[in-house]
Formats: sequence, C-alpha cells, structure tokens
Amino acid sequence: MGTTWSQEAFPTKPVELVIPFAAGGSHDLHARVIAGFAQQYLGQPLVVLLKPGGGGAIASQFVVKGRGDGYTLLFGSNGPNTILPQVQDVGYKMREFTPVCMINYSPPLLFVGANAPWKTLPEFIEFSKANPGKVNFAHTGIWGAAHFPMLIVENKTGAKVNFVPFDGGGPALLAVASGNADASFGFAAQLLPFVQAGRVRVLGVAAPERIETVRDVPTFRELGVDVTFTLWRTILAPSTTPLPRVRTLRQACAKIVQDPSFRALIRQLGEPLIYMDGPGFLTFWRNEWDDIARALAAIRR
Amino acid sequence: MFESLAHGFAVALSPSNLLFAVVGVVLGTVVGVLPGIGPPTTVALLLPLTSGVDVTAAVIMLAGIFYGAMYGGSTTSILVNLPGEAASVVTTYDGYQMAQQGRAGGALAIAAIGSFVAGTLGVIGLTFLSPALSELALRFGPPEYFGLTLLGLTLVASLATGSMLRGLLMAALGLWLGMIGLDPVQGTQRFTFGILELSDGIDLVPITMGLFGVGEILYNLRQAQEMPTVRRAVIDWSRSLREVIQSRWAILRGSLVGFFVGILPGGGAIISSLLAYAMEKRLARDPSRFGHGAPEGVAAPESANNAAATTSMIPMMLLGVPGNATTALILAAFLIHGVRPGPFLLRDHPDVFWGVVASMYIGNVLLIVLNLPLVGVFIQLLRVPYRYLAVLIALLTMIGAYSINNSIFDVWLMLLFGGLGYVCRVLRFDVGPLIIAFVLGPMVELSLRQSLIMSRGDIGILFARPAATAFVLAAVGLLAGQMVSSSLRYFGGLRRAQVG
Repeated sequence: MGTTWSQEAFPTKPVELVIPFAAGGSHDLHARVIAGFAQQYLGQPLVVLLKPGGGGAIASQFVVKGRGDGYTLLFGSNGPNTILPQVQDVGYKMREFTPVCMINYSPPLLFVGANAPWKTLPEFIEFSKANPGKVNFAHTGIWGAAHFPMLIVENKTGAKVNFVPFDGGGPALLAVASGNADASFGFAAQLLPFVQAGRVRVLGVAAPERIETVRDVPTFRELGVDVTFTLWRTILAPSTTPLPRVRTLRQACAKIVQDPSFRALIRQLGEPLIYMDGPGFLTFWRNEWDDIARALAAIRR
Repeated sequence: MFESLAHGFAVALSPSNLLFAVVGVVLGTVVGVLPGIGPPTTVALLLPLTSGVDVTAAVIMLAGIFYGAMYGGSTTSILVNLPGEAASVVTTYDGYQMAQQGRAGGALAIAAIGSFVAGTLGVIGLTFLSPALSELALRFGPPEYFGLTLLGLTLVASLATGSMLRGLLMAALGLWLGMIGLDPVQGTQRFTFGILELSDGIDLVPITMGLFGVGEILYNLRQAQEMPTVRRAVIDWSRSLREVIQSRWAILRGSLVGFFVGILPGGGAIISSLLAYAMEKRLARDPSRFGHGAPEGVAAPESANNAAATTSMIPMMLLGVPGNATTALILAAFLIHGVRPGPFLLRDHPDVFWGVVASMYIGNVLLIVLNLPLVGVFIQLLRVPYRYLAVLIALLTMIGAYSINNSIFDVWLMLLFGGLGYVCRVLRFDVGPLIIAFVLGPMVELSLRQSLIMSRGDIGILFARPAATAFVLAAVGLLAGQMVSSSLRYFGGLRRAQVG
C-alpha cells in the first residue's frame, strides 16, 4: 500500500468492523456505507459485525481483548469510549485504543414543543433557573446524548429541569411534539421533518461550530453557554496493533473520504462528512475526555 | 385517495416490484416458520443488499418479510408448541391442543385465513386512516401506556389454564426477570451481578425459545420409548371449514384490537394478541373450552398480530418513529436511499408510500395463496420421527439465540431457560404468563414512573386524561371482578362442603 516502507502484506483477509450498537442505528448505517468502499481502497472487504449491549461496552471489550492484529476494529463513539469508562467499571480505557480516523459526528440539538413559551435558548435557561424542576425534559437514558449535555448545561448555568426517561430518541421526540414533555435533545436528521411541520422548535446545537444541515441554528457557545457534545463515529484499533498496519488503515480511510460518492452517501444518512485523521482525532478525543472528566467531577459535587 | 391508491397499484404491479413482493412474502413465511430466526435478523441481513435497487422495491420486499413472518409464526406454535415469534406465544394455548387432537390442519387454516382477513383489513385502514392514526399514536403518552399495559397485565390471569395461583407465581417470576438490567430512571444495575451481558436486560428470544422449545424437547426426552409422532397428518376439510366459520367473529374482533394496538410503539403485536385472546375468552359462552383446542383461541391472536404488524408501519412511515426492531430496519432502508420517513413522506414521496401500501394488498393475497396449500405440507412435519425433529428444533433455537446479539452468552441463557422450562412442564406450571409478564412488566414500570415524574409524584395524572382513566378503570374493574367471582366460588364451595 502506498509509499510506506512497510513491505508486509496487510490486509490479506477481510477486516472486521465491530458495531457497539443495534442493527439499523446510525452507526450501523455509516459502517455499511464504509464497507461498500473498503474493497476498492483497502484491497480487502470490510465485514460489519454487530455486537450491541452494555451501552457499547461489550463490543469495546471484545475489540480490546482481541488479537490486536488490525483485523478487528471498533466503530467507536463517545458514549461507550469516553463516558462509560469514566462512570462505570467497564474494563477498558482510552489509551487501549488507537484512532484510525473519524468519519463524522452528530451533535444534539435542544428542541421544545411548538407551543412552548421559549423562543431562544437564553429564555429557556432563564425559565428553568427561575422555576427549578418545572420543565419536563425528555431523555433517552442516563449518561446518554439527551441526558449528559443537559447535565452539563444545568451545571454551568444553574438551570434545573425535571428529567423524564424515554425508551429511545423516537419516543422522546413524540413526547415533546405532543406536549407530554417540554424539551429534549435530538439529532438533526430525525428532528428536521418535525421542525418543518411546525411541531417542534430548535433552540440551539451543542456542537463546536454550526452544522451544515441546520445552518440557521446557533451553537450553545454563540449563545454564551459553553457546552459541546458530539456523538462521534470513529474507527478505533486496539493500541496493541502494529503501527505499520494502523498506518495502512489510516491511509485507506483518508482515500475513502475523498471519494465523492462516499461523501454523498454519508450525507444522506443525516450528517455531512467531518473527517479527522488518527492523530488529529486523538487530540480531539483527549480534550473531550478531560472536559467530560471535569463535568463529571462538577456534577458529582 | 382512490386515485393515489390506483397509482400505487400501478407502481406495485410493475414486474420488478411484484417480484420483490413475492420474494419478500416467501422469505417472510420461511423465517416466520423457523423458530428463533425472526424478521429482524433477516431484514438486517438483507438490508445492505437493497442499496442497489430503488427505495420502493426495497421497502416492498422488507415489509413483505415483516408481515409475511406473521403468517408463518403460528405454524410451529401449533405443530410443536414452539412460538415462531413472540407474538405467537398465545397461539400455542389452543393451537397446540388442536394439533394434539388431530386438528392441526384446521388450526393452520384458521391461522392463515385469520391472518389474511386481518392483514387486508389492516391495509384498508392504512389506506384511509393513516394520517389520523399517526396523530393518535402521537397523543398516546405515558399515562395512556400505563393504563393499557396494566390492563394487559391483569389479563394474564385469564390466560391461566390450570391453577390460578401457579399462573400468578409464573407471572411474578416473569416480572422479576423483566427487571434485570438497567433501572430506567436511575441508570443503576439491577440483578446483573456485574455481568455486562445482562446490563441491557434479557432478550425475549432466549427466554421464549428456552422455555418453550428446549423445555419441550427435554420433557419429551423423559419418555423412554419413541414418541407417537404421527398425530393424524390428514386434514378433515369439512370440519376445518366449520371451525373457520365458527371463528369469523373472533377474526374480526382480533383484527380490530390488533389494528389499534399496532399503532403504538413497543410490543404492539404481543400485547394485541394477548388482548384479543383474553377478550374472546371473556366473550365466549363457555370459556372453559379455551386452552383445550378452541378455534377462536387461534383465530383471535393470529388475526390481532397480523393487523398489528400492518398498522405498525404507520408510525414508522408517517412519524419516522419505528415501534419495533423490524420497522426500525425498514426505516433504515428508507434512509439508505435518501428518503426520510416522517410527516412529509406522503407529500414528498407519494409514489413510495402508495406503492408500498398497494404492495401490501397484493402481498396478503400472495400469502394466502401460498399458505393455504402449505397447510397440507406442514402437517406432514408431524410424520417426521421426533428424534430427528427434536435435533432440528434444538439447532434452530440455538442459531436464533446466537443471532440476536452475535453472542454465545444468549445461547447459554437459552439453555438455562430450557432447564427451567423442563422443570415447569414436569411440575405443571404454565410458562405463558411468565413470558407475557416479562414483556409487559418493564412497560408498566417505565410508563408509571414516567407519568409520576411528569406530574412530580401526583398520582392524579393517571385519571386526568380520558383514555388513561378508561384503561386503568377497566384493569381495576377486571381485577375486582375476578376477585369477587373467585371468592364467591370459594365460599360457595365451603358452604356446600358444610352442607354435604
């Protein structure tokens, strides 16, 4: 492959990409798109293997405990790989993974029902400060993408909401759209049709910068609330993998993301490509890890 | 409306789309028949292959697998007391009894015809009421869910064929098993003993396949000599026809129940089959026939789960919110093709929506044409010596358990439940209430806790909305009625004993 000095033939058999979540979810769909391009750029097929369970911890453990030969990779995310290891004893740490590349991330958007009185994020936060526990906030599981960012918001602004658990993003969205709950965090792709239909209103996005699909939605930072949360989709190898093999995988990934039809397919799934190479992602990940550690310490206090 | 539907038929009847419908329903029948291998596994496997065809054809095929599996699901419930999928658990009660009495043909025919009528009625509803029904699904909040699932849980009692106490004990065990995993509110582990695989709770498949499939095999192995396998593998057509006619109201009522319950996300098909069965038993002039081979006991749940499967397409297509694993995967098929289901699907992609709806009319006709002649084939299965059949069933259940999470843990779990199923059979404990309670328990818990969190602890929220109030009152009334009637029976018995 390419210009590396390594003359070792790799890969010589199909590479497995382990998905920590259920079939049909956004990780699964992204992985299947990547798999469609692997043969062309990696020289071997990429096999998608679903190992859901334990909030993603089962798949992460499976990959860490594997052979570390570059043939078993994890399609990781911040839930199983940044948050879980800090809140639960899952038996793996950040340093046990080496990032290959990040494909993109989905930032959660704060949305309220169409009849809710709040038109902007500051209004919403002011209200939940003045009326602690008055806002019914739908979330999709403790430490999840609709719960954790709101915890940070509470911690940074002094707001206080009443968390109501729901069995997934769909039911949480329906609850807000029908008035059974007041607000929640959700992802752009699922929210957009409901925004267009005038059933929910989006107040802000918890991303480092505005996202392409909803250009007119301001980020939390712009509105003076320093909260970011990115549900990332990154290919991770066990850190025991020989460096030349990691390099081969990184180069293949760098080529795949240049392919216009790959970019188009990824975009169809909801979020545009937001590529980061291995070392670039590692810096990003370390910052995120520290941010979340600080947030957790503050929340627990 | 009719114009759109006619246009939909034009789409669905194009040779390639018709072919995809045929492939879908045939595959659906097969995976429905095979225990353990359910529609979610199949659809997940085929999903990547559909990226090459256009979105309508892809969804036509995957939906065909989904509702086609509801036809096949009853086959093994009836023939070998092993539900092909969870929504057919209730069918084992009278279906297996009918087969034991040599009426397997009748039971299979009723299941097929009931499925056809219910499926077709479901699609008619889909055609005319979709937008209204999606609005209904939207309105159904935690208090309503609590009422409905509580009602379902109180109906478990009416499932019990033998001793009520034993039925309730099994239901309690099911409730406990349903609590294993993460607490939905606190996020703390419950009864997981540090086992990571248990932290998402136990899947329904290993429990069902273990208790029914493996348990039954172990029980039959107890007999030293070969099982009498040929339980009259012929069909008495005139009797079967009479039984079908006898079940006509059960089919219609079952369809109606399934139709409405199917719209609700989460376990719609299972709840509806239970509700329909319990309703028939209550309405019957002689409820004691149920559990001993009553044709209505097959007709009602099989119609209900088919109608429910059909209407569960509505929230997926028109709200973009799938209610079960299979519709979640069909939603993924839409996404792969760049079509986003939701409030604007009808406006932006009428071709897709009406093409799929029209294909479901066609699919149901294909299924009845396919399944009625298959009745004659399937009952020949009863001629296969049990020593071969048992191995095949064991193998299929293990594959099924493994395939849910690609995890060997689930296979061990299933074998463990197989042991429990065996003990239950020997001690004459009915495993049905366990499964129903296992499914409903977590729903009752979550919806009650959601409601109380929403109202900040005020129980009045359960009586603040008409639908929720009606369900809760029905559940309480049912329970009270049962207690009164059984205590009357008890004291009546005492008096008689004193007199005599």
